[in-house]
Amino acid sequence: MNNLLQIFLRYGGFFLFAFLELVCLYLIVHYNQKQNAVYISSLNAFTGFMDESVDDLTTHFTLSEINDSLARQNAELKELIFNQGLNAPAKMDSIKNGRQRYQIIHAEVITNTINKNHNYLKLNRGSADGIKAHSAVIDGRGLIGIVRQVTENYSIVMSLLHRQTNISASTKNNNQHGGSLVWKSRDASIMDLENIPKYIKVEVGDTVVTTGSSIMFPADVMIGTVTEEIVPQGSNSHEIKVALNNDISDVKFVYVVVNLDREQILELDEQVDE
Amino acid sequence: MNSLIQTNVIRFLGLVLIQGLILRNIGVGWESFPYFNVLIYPIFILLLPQRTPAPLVIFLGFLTGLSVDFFYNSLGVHAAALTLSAFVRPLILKQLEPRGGYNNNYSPTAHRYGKAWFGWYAGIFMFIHCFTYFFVEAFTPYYIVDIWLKTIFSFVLSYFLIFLIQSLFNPVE
Repeated sequence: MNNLLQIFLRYGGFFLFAFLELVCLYLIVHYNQKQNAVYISSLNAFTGFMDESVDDLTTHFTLSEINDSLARQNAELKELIFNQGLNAPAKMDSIKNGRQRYQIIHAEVITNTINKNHNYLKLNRGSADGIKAHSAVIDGRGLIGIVRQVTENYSIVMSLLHRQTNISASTKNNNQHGGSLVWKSRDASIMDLENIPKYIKVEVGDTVVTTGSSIMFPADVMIGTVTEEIVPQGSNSHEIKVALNNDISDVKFVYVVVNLDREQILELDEQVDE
Repeated sequence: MNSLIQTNVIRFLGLVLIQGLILRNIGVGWESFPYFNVLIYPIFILLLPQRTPAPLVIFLGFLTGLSVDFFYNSLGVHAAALTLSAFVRPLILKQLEPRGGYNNNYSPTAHRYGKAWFGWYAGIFMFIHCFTYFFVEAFTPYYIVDIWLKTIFSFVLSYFLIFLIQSLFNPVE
């Protein structure tokens, strides 16, 4: 006990100093806006760095699976090229001279949740790579979500698995009648397609794709297949359950689709509104 | 003993009020480079009697800084800087110990140990204090060039004023 007292007497100044500096730090961060902003952004940079480091490690262990999925995607793309060569040779010139409307940026998922009401993903690319807010995010097999916030090197994506998701979609052969794709279940692989009028024929097994009528998603991106379809009594529209083609819980690499015409379209809309 | 406490209480109130009400409004600088501060409240810690226990000096440093912070509306910034300065005060005193040693009953003033000695003592102390203050104020090493510039300009102004005050009053305690 005596020793303890002596230690405190000798180093008490240092302990008090350290303690008071911590108090100051707390006061500075909580009562000063400027320093608080610096604190928050430093913290974000740090956690972003940590997340990415952990992710690097886990990516290493799943390399073989990723390889597999990339090879499969390659195959699908090759298939697409070959088929296009056969079916649409007459259009080649106009494609060559055409304008680029969508820019595709590939990115890696750093964090991802699926078990909340509002799920988000974090990507390792941001405005420095050309990503803009409100861009669509897809992977090789389906939709992932929509970019919400962008910093220089990171971006936050609102997952499809979000209670506010509302994406224009329809079954493949009825593109002109878009319904809205929403997430009502707690299941990360099931979504609902609403507002498809009942005079349109929908069958279990039909493919669900984007309509292209939104600014964000290009047309005919694969979403999933119809697993359940009913028309409730007295209702005018189908109630459709869609099984997602991709697995959002396990997504590693994604493509961000930036619509280069977005500003133009919004400007037009504004002019009409005025 | 009582007069010593009285002196220090008056000194504390005077310095904090002058700093908080008058010197706060003095900003020197030009448009692209905001004001330099004139800081004189560290005189209080500078002139505390040498026999004051180290923890008490540190606590008084915190208290003085916090009082100034209330005027500057920057809770914790001055306090963090002066707490550190108060913590290093004994180290500076040890470095500058005169050949005859200190008399622990006295305050480290120019009256006791000479103007040259006090010049070094106040200079080192104020430089550390100014740098810490502007570093904490920026809160990031990102603006290190700005921090150094502010430190140097403010240090020169404050140091000049502190030396002037010391010569003017030439306090014994």
